Amino acid sequence: MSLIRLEEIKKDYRLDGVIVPALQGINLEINQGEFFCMMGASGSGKSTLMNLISCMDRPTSGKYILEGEDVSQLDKNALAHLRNKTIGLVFQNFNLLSSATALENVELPLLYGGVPAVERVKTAKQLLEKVGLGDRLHHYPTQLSGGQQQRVAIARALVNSPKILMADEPTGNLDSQTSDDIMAMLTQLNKDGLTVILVTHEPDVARYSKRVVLMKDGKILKEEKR
Amino acid sequence: MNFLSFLKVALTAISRNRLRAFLTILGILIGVGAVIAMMAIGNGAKAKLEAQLNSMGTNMLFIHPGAITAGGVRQWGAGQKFYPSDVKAVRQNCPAVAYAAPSIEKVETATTGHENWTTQIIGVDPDYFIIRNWNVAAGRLITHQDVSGGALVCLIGQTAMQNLFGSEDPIGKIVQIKDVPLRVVGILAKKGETPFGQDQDDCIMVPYTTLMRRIIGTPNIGGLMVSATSSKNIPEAEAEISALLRQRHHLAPWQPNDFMVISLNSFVQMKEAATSVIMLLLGSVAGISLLVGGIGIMNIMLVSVTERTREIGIRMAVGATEQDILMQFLIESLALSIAGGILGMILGSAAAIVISKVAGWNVVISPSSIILAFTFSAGIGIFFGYYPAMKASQLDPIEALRYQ
Ligand SMILES: Nc1ncnc2c1ncn2[C@@H]1O[C@H](COP(=O)(O)OP(=O)(O)OP(=O)(O)O)[C@@H](O)[C@H]1O
Ligand SMILES: [Mg+2]
Repeated sequence: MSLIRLEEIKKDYRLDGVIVPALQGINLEINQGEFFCMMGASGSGKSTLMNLISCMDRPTSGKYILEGEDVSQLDKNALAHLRNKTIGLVFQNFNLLSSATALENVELPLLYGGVPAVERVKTAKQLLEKVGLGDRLHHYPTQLSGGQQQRVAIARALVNSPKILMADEPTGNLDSQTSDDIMAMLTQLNKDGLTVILVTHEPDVARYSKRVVLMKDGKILKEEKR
Repeated sequence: MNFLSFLKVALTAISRNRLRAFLTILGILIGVGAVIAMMAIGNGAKAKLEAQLNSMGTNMLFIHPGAITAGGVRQWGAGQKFYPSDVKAVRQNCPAVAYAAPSIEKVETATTGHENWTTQIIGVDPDYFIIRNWNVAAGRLITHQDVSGGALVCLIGQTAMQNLFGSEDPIGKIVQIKDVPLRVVGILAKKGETPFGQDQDDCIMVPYTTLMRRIIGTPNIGGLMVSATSSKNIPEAEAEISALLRQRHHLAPWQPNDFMVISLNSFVQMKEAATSVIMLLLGSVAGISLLVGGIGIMNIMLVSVTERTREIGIRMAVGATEQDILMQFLIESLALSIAGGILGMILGSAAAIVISKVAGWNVVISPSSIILAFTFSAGIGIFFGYYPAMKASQLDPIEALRYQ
């Protein structure tokens, strides 16, 4: 059984009464432990697809089977629960709370998962140590470099031990050296059994993946296995 | 997510914008302050009024000559006159009446040879002291013998005593009123002011017979002062007296009363109506500022939600439910309004203490007014915070994350 199965997924946006088809029938299976990468021109629908897989959004039509369960028409609460427990998200612009320290940012998913305070701090510390920021616990995002901020974001994405880590252009705002560090970290996490789904524009980054899908105009154009 | 975590998030958000938070709660602060002050002042005034009314006497009724219409002109107090025999008749024929006394007063100048003092001369009989619940501080009361014999004796109120005798003991001394020498036989106990601001201690009391014959020279009395057997029986006493007087005045059924029976309770109602107008005024000030305060909170919360759209998106992305976001913002506005409420309570209590000091009555800050103010401010926080919180919780996570 595959971890993720998409069947004829379509997504339309409505802009001033005009229907913009962003995804036009996506069929895709992703297995447990894969390092999956999406590429494609700007506007080809990569982010739209990522939002659907990460349960941030619902498809206009089609079926999304996650861990054997159809989640394509779940209500907002159930989707929030999946984002909290099953899926970890990493963004191009890190999306950390600027008013919270690194530790508090990493604690956030535990907070919404109902974990008690003491345990929250302990787990969040462990994760920050794992990404090499054990000495930056009480730094605010503005006091951290871009690479460090992205590592805080990765720690946050992993703190609830999700099945899937999804990263939409995680290295888009980083220099090549830092990008390599981040990608090395994702590769290591994947080796430890985490399913990683990645969107990127850079072939250098896509190299880390064994399975690359190329998108065009809301469709999968071709798939490459290495 | 539990309440304490929500509270911590809310307090962190508020502490990031302290000045703004303070300005926001100002309306609530003033509103709650006004409520507390209003209730404290109202209760204090009421307590004072009650004390004053008790000093006047209990279950009292006054009977005065009424208005008559002569040639189209209504003349107050021009009705049938009263005589001592009316007092006797009321005592004998009205079961709901406990005590009855004539009511006759005149303002005259009293002299002691070296001091003059213009004061209220009150004609009394022994029932008068029972009705008015009044006794002497020293000496003796006026007795039935004094009344029947028209004795030349008097009791002196403490204000009149001070002005006529200073620190001297007046008992046994002579006071002259219109050349009638009266021996002081007692000093009246202190009574204080009536609810109408009259100093009850500024008086001299003489047997009513002495006042009628020797000082004024009149066969009639001004009116009657009566006490009902209980407060419940006041209307009954009123009815009995009216019936009796109509009969004594030979009034035909179609003729209106030529006298007035006024109970002290009607004065109370008058006085209370006046206080309640003031309370209503203060109440509307409080209400309006609470409303404005609530709108202020709503306004700031809407601004806050917009400013923190991205934060909301991030929280949703890591698993915050609609309910979590709703609670976060609701608790934030609740914290603001309760903070305003608490500061308002402190301010209002302080104001009440100052005003009470000035007005000279006891501060009565009741627990119920504290509870009321607290629930009010909490209610406002929830009512006016709900819409912004709802708006925050309904944000789309993707849109919110994209917000710059
Ligand atoms: N909220 C929206 N409303 C209307 N149209 C949208 C919306 N979001 C995306 N689209 C449209 O859907 C299409 C796919 O957008 P998407 O963001 O998925 O592209 P992308 O592949 O991620 O591009 P990029 O590489 O630039 O990030 C685009 O044509 C875009 O204009
Ligand atoms: Mg994109």
